[in-house]
Amino acid sequence: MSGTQSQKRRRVVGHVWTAGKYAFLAAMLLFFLFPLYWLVATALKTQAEMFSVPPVWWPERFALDYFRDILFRSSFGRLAWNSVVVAGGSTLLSVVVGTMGAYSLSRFRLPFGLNRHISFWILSTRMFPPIVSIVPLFLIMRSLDLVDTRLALILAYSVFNLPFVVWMMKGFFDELPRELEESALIDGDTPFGAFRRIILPLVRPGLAATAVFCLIVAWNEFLFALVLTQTEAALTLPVGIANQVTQYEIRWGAMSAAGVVAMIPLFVFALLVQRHLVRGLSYGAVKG
Amino acid sequence: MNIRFENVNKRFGRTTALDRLTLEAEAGELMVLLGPSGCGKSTSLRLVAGLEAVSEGDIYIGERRVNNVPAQDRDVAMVFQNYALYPHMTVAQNIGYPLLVRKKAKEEIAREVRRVAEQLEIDALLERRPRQLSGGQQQRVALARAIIRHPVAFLMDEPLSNLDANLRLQMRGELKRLQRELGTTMLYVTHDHTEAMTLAHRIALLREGKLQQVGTPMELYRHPANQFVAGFLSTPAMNFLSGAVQGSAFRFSGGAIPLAAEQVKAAAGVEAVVLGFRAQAASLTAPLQPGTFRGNVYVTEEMGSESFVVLTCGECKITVGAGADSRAAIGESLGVVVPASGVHLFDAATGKTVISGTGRPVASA
Repeated sequence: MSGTQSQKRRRVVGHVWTAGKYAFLAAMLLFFLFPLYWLVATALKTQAEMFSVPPVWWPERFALDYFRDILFRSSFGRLAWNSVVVAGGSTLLSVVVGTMGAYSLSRFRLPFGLNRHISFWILSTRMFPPIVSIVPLFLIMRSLDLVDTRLALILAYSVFNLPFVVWMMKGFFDELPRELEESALIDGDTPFGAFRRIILPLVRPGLAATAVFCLIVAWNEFLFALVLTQTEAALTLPVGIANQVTQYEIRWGAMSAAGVVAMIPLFVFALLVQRHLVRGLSYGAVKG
Repeated sequence: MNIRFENVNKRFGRTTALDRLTLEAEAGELMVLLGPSGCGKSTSLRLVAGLEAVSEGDIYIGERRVNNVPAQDRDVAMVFQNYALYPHMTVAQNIGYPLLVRKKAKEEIAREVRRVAEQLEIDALLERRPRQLSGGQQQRVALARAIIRHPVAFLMDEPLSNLDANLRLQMRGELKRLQRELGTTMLYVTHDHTEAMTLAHRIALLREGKLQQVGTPMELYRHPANQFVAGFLSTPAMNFLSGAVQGSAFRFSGGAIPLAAEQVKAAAGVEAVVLGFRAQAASLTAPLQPGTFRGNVYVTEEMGSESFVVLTCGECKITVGAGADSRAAIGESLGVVVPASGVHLFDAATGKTVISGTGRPVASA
């Protein structure tokens, strides 16, 4: 009798535990999704609704005016293109260079424990806050005549993302047994051929995950873009959106609408590579 | 083609992996590099493959000195212990890879892949990926990839050690047949002496980077150059007794073993002697017979077709073969017979063989 009772009790405890877990998850979701909801809602509200007390949770009618404004009557398109070029260019550059660097560090034995020292040195460049480097970076770009160009941002972001790429990719390369390339070499392939035909396909999930992070960082970066760009020739979306805060007014509606649109490309991209992303991030967690 | 090591040294930092190795595998020969782990056998293989560079000395494949030839231009094929199959390729792509990188035509690759796949009986698996295969099948794919392009030599790095016991025996036989059929030189690395004995034309036994002895399996078995070789090629482990030759017998703490005249003569002047005999060479009899020494049964090990009796005699412990139906009981006192023909005498100071059986003394390698 007491056996079934304790069994019943255990079942009740189990249910409570499960309910608790879901409640916690719901709370977390609310916490993270609320700003997103508020951003989208604000973009669709009228000026009056934005500031009404109590707040309007659901806009009376969806006002698409702000979207129309930013899409067709502003420099938004121009800035979006800058963002695409800068984020795409810097991601490509840092992933290509960083991957080759990571492969070298993973595979070639340097004397004096240099592998470890170089790896650490690369990581150490991420240890100071980026703002420390902004003045020297500006001076360098000025002397190269690159201020207010997209190339300046591409270079700056690539340098900033390189340590991340090197460390991520080095982890993926370290997971692969050396025998794979050794076998490829003995089978008659060149070192580069072995890298391209054997190693690269095997680290593709890792490559995708790394690229997504680079892209997110570059797409959202604000500080460097603020300092290194001045005109529509190179301004990116984050700075452009921030510029809606002017001396005279804060254009909440335009800001929100621009923010929503700016989110979309990354959102779509992340969905596309989601499969790779999950695999890439859990890579090596379970030996297969 | 023949493969030749000439005074090859290989050092990793301060450790010496190979110490003045001079060795030649003849064309068409299956030479087994045998030794305990860390003896330099795998290193020798990697030197031939071009995955490591020699510190000093020369390596020849045929008449070509290959010290500075990169791995992809040496035209050898290697099978790794973990097979190193390319996980993202199908079996067919794996096998065809050596031809692909040689820019052969698609049709030719497909035809050759089919040919070797049929030869190794894996033609039903061509569209699978390596992780969908059993260990034995993976092993065959690795072999197929090695034989597809008719390399000048095969390099095998413990290719059977990841297989379970039964499959290992089966593949061992097939590997031997395959090598004899193709007639291609093969360097085969293993730490398993039965594998070495059964496969090899000749065995090269290494220890701590030094070559101990080269010869046919029976040469090494019957006339080991030193105590290490003798011990390495015995199952169960060879019995070693320390003592000295006095009169016409070997005397040790547990008694005496009569020797033949040649043995006494050969051991003259050797102060401290180690006598070795294999369990299978000795036999048991009633205690206190002339020419025997006494041992107390410590434990018995029945293996079905044969059995072994472990005895203590004085301070030493020895193992003696006792046929299938031994009736030795633990604690029993028995006489041990070691015929002179089964005795190996070693110089305790150098470890070198003084005389094996009653036959010719062997010069060390």
